[in-house]
Amino acid sequence: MNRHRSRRFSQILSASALVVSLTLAGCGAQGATGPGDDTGAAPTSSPSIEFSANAVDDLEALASERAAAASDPAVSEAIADIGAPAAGVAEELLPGGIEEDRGRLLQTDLGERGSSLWVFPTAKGHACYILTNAGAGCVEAFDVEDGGVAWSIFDRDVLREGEPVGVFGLAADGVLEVSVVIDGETYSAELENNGFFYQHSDSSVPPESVKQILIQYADGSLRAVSTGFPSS
Amino acid sequence: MSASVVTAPVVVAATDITFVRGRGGLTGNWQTTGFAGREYSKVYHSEGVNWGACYINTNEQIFGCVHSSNNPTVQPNNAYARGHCMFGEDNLTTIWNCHTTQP
Repeated sequence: MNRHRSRRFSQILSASALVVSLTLAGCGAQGATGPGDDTGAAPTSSPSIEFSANAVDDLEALASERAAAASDPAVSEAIADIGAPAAGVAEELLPGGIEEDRGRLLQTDLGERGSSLWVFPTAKGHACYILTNAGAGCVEAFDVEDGGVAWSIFDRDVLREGEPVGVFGLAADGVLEVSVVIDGETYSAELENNGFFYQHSDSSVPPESVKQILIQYADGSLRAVSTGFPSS
Repeated sequence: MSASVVTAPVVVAATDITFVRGRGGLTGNWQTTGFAGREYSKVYHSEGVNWGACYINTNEQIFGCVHSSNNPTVQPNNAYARGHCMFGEDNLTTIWNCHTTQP
């Protein structure tokens, strides 16, 4: 696992600022951060890749022959939790039934608890990702605004103590590198099989210190996506 | 000799509850009123808005947080706690639902 600050990616971003046409969007939940943020506003450019209407179609890992059986009880529990009845929730907010037998194990032995990262398609074409004993989420479709990634920030115990905060998620095909910005510093995530993971080394850092996800694409373009936490 | 009575454990499925639901609003935090053994904390919301699904322990500390702009955002671990959810962005305009379970 790479817990070291990503100087190389920072250098890429700095150099790219000189040569790419910047597309600095306004501050917001989905857009790239712009001037005024305290996160070391990164240059962004739109990737040339296009994303599908369904997230599952942008994840090569789901078409692979990798292990599918979710024998880990923590995975089964998370699947059940995602699919649990949710009375009163509008149909469009439900991800659809998880197709458990089509799941894929993306990464193993992650972080302090040796977690595993899984992805499962749903009947609606959404992709649900699970980090065992940490968290889960589903994404309907990737798009340029979200940088072609689906992310979650986890802190498994009491805030600011114990196990450090971490970030995990899915990266669509065409994403070459994922980094996270924490308190203005950039750290590389482990990216493999459309899954990415990073766990910080400082237990005192709360989730809201994770301000941005930086994405580099195979075509050389870059994008910085805000996590939506307000600037401190 | 005293007779002993052995009873089979009764497994009762937890019930999903919506402890807060809304449309729009400003930055906020919500929690269940009581503690109980819970199977998850999760939020259904529009994609693109950062929500947190957490718990609160008996020391009134927030723990086990999962933040995400994906839907739903799920904290899948079991805990004896209050269910807790939060979002940190102002001027939300969409519908959202915070869920947990109770015995």
